Amino acid sequence: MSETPMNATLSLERFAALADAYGGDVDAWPVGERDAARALLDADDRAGAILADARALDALLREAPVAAPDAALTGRVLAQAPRRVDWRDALAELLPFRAAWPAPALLSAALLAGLALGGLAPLDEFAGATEASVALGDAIAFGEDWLEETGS
Amino acid sequence: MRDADPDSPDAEHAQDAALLGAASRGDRRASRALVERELPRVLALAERMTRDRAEAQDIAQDAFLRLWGAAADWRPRARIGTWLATVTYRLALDRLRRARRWSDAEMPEIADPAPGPDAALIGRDRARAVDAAIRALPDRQRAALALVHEQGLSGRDAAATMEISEDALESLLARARRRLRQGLAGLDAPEREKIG
Repeated sequence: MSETPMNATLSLERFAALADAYGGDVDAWPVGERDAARALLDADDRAGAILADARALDALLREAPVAAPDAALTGRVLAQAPRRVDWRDALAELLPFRAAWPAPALLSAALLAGLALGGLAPLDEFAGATEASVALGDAIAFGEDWLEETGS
Repeated sequence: MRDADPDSPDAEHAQDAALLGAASRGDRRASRALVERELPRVLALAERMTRDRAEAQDIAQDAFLRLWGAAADWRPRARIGTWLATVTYRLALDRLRRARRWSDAEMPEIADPAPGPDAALIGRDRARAVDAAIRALPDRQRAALALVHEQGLSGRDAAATMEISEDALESLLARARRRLRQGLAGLDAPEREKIG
């Protein structure tokens, strides 16, 4: 069942095995065996019959119903998509009573929130957090620490 | 997602990277376009693997969460669809194995199969019969069939996803299709007549 070397001729047995596995669309077969398969199709009517048989099964399998996502699932998935984060909005959310804060503390919070949101730490390919939420998480953590220290 | 010439640039990879890059910067149109394009396929694969609609929805949501996480650093080395299919497959497999609902065992080939569905079945009943036959496949055969024939992965990518050789994948596919051909013997005759 090993792949035929590229440019070699394809045996009818191998042609049948490929049709058995990959179905009746030669474009779906391993790339190195497609040209040889097409050459055999041109040369041998039995290859055509094998392909027709495979295509009949393909057509039947395409009749299976496909689960379609509902609006609720689509909405949940979209809600997790990255969003543009404005540092002013993030700061407003973190520090709702900032009007009562001393100016140096506000400036420090704004500076650190901006640095956190501007930072582009590389993410592991399978990390669950988006770039923006990692940065926002850093800003939130800073805010919580500050509140703890000030006893607020 | 069929095998392309590995030495030529893949314009589709570059387009995917641009779309995902835009989504990573909060472009809602880009993220919506991605979801509309890929979520149906992800859900279909998850449901084919788990045979459970609710579980498939959880897996689909998890797969996209991982895509959003990878979006900012996406490199055009794979199609998004292929990447998502691989992630979905592995998420589903992990969940099924932990629940002991996955078997790597192969059933013996059916020497004398029971009669298949009535050839007179039409429409929705016919579709259900096909779906039931696919759902009844052994787990690995069903997964191989889903990855190649429903998701459109190349044999090479499907084998890599399942962490098996291409020969092993071909064997799974051939056994799956033989089992389906036997199980649906009464149904395929009209299609054969149309093509022949």
